[in-house]
Amino acid sequence: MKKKDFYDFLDDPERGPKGSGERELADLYRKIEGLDADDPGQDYWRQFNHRLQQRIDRLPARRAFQRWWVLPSWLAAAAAMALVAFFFSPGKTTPGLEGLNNEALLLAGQLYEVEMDVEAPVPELAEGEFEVLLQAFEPLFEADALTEEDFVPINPEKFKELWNLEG
Amino acid sequence: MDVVNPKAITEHVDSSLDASRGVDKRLIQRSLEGEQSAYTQLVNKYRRQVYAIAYRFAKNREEADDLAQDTFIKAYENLSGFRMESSFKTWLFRIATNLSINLTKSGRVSKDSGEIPDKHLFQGESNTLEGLLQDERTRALRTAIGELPPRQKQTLLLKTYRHMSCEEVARVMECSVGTVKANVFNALKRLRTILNPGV
Repeated sequence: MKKKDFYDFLDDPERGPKGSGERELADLYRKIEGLDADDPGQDYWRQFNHRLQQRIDRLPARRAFQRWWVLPSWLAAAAAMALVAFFFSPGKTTPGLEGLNNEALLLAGQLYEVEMDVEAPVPELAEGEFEVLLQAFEPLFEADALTEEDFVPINPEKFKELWNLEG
Repeated sequence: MDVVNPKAITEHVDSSLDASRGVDKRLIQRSLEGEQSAYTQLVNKYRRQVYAIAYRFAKNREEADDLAQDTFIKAYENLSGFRMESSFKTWLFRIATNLSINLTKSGRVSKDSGEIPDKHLFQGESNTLEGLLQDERTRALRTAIGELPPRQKQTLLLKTYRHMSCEEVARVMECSVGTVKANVFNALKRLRTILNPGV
């Protein structure tokens, strides 16, 4: 049998086979189609959903998953506070901020559309600097001092870029 | 008599698919925002298909159940990484297929023993001669499928699953449509040889 004839059959298994060779393979194909599992029934599906829900509830990352959009907001808040500290307390930087390089600060500046007096060709956080930024403002997270409304990033694209750096 | 317009049918199917994808996207979005019932709706929509695919690979209820559960857990865990421009169904099937392959490789599944898959309770047992012959033929066919090279076997099992077009299988298997057709063709020829060694 010709391959092409069978390929046409695969595109449209409803069409009748042409030659005997093709018919033989088509019959075999249909037998395999018939190996489908029968529906286990409504009771099974109820139990299936129940077990799945239990497993999802036990997932360690569930909280982070459900609140995936809140976390970046906290990070945005951290970046904003970094800028405040940078601008208004030049002699007293927040603990941990000295770990940030110029590129990190420039990126934060772009995030909030603030001109920074830093020269860097491509803003990029080095490995570990993101964690430094987070650690610097950990007390803020614990204090729960800010509301979600405070966390809307001014420049969503730059914000996304910052978020993606974390991987 | 009404004249059937193939183009109109194709357009109707395409628009139905687009609508379904749109619904999926909204459910995914709501699920990502923390609405648990949205994910349950996705599960309810695809659980039968995922289970059927898992069953094709696993050949017994328990393993199919595990695979289907694992598929939805993995999808849940990776939902935020799902690219909305692709089909959720294809993505889900790819997860199910990959998990099935891994399961086979791990040796947890009795390696294509050719056993008759478990029958669900409501079906009853085969107690007629014809039923027993049918069981024997099914056993032989399953054993033969188990002897196929992995890619041919996976492609054949997906393609003969009634809801899968060549294009969908190609997306799941991450290969070309031509490769799908060639794999199915070669798999069937090989099966014919295994089942009829004298021919």
